[in-house]
Amino acid sequence: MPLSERDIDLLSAYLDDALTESERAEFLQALAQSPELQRELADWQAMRRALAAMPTLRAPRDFTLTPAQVRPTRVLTAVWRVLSAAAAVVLLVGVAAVFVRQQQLEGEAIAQLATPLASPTATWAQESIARDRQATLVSEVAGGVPTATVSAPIAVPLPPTLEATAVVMLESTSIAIVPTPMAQREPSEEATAVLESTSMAVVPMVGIGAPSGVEAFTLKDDDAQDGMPPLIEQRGFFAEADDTPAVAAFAPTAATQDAPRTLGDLLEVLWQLLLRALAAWLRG
Amino acid sequence: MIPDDEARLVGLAQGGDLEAFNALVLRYQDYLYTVAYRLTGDAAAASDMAQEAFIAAYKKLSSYKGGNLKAWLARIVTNRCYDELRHGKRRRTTAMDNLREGGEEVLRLANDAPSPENVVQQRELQRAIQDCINALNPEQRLVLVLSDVQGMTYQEIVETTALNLGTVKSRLSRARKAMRACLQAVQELLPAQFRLFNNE
Repeated sequence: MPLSERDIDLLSAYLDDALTESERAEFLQALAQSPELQRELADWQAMRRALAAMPTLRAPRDFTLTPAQVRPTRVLTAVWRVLSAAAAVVLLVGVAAVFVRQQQLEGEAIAQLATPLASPTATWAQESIARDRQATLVSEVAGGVPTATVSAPIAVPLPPTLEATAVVMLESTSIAIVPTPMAQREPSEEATAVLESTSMAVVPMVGIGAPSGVEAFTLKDDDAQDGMPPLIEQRGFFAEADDTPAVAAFAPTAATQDAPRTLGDLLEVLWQLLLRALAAWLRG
Repeated sequence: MIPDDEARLVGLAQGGDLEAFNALVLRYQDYLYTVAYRLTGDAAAASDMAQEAFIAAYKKLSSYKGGNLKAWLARIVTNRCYDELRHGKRRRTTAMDNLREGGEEVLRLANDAPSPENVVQQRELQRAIQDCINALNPEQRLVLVLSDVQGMTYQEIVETTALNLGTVKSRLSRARKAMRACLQAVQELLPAQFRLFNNE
C-alpha cells in the first residue's frame, strides 16, 4: 500500500525530530504496523546520511577581494548619471520635436478644412453662445440631409446614416469626445447624439489649436457607400458669445494663432519633467 | 559564539580593513563555494556566486550586527544562487561536465587516506547525489541543500530564505521524497557497497 502524503510529512518531520508529542505517537504507531513505512524510514535515513556526508569542496581559486573590487563605484555612478540625464534630455527633445511637427500638420489640416467644400456644402453658423457655454451648430448639407443642430450640452438631432462626433474643447489643453454609434436606422428615424458632460471622455488635447473657450464639432458620414453623400467632415470653431462670428472662426488664422500658446503649455510641462528628472538625479 | 579573532577581524573589516576581511574570506570561501555549487550544480556559476557574495558581504558589512557570520554569509550566497536558479540566467551544465571541464574541483572525503579506488567510487556516489539534487526544482533544492547538506535547522532555513516554517517543512518533505525516488533510480549504476537503499 503506497504511503500517504501524511505519512511522508510525518516521516520527514520525524527525521528532523520536529514532531509534536501527538504526531510522534501517531507516527510511531503507524511505523509499528507498516513494514513499508519501516523500509521507507530506513531509506530516508540512509539518504540523509549520504547528503550530510557530501564533502565540502575546495574553492577553485581564492575569492579574496582586491581594492578595485570594493572601491566605491563613484566614477561609474557618475558616468551612469550623466548618461541617464543625457538620455532624458534626448527623449524630451524628441517628444518636443514630434509635438511641433504635429502642430504643423494640424495647422495645415485646419487650413484645408477652412476651405468651403464644393459638394456637398455645409454651412456652419453660430446661433448663440451664451455665457453658460451653450453652443448651437446648424449644418445644412446638400443632398437632402436635414439640418443638424448641436448645442452643448444638449441633444443633437441627426439625419439617418449620419454619424456624429462631437468634439468639445473644454480647456485649452483638454478635449472631450463623444462618439455616437452609427446604427442602421430607418430613413425616417432621426438619430440623436446627446452630449453629456458626465459621459465625456477626456483625452489630452494636442494640435487642434483652437482658441480658448471655443468648441469644435465634427459631423461624419460613414455610409457613403450606401448611396449617401460622400464623407462629410467639417470642423467648426465657435468663438465666445459676442465675439467673432462663426464663419470667421473657419479662418485658418483662428486656429493657428493659438498654436504657440499650446506649444508653450507643452514646453512648460516638459520643463517641469526635466526639472524633476534633474532633482531625482541630484538626489542620486 | 563568534570566535574572538573572528569578531576582531569583523570589526577591522567594518572599519575598512580589506586585509582583515580577506582573512575571513579565506576562512569561509570553501564553505560558500560548496553551498553555491550544491545549489547551482555548476562550477562556474558557483565560483561567480561565491565571489559576488563576498563582494556584497564586504559592502554591507556595516549591516552585520554580530551573530553567526557563517550563516550570514550563507544567506547572502544562498539568495544570489536562488535568484540565479529562478531566473535561469546561466545555461546549465551537468555536474559531470563540471568535473571533466574544471579538473580542479577537489573533493575532500571524510576518510583522510582513501584508496584511489575508494575515491573513484565515492566520487561516483557524490556525482549521482549531486545530479539528483540538480534535478529538483529550485524551491525544493534550496531547502534540501540547506537542511540535509548544510545541516541547517528549520529556524535557520526560515531566517535564510524568509519562507515560513510550514512552507519549509512541506517543501523539505516533497524534496526528500523526490530525492529518494531519483536516487532509487540511479543507484543501480553504483557499486553495491555504495547503494543507499535496500531494494529487497
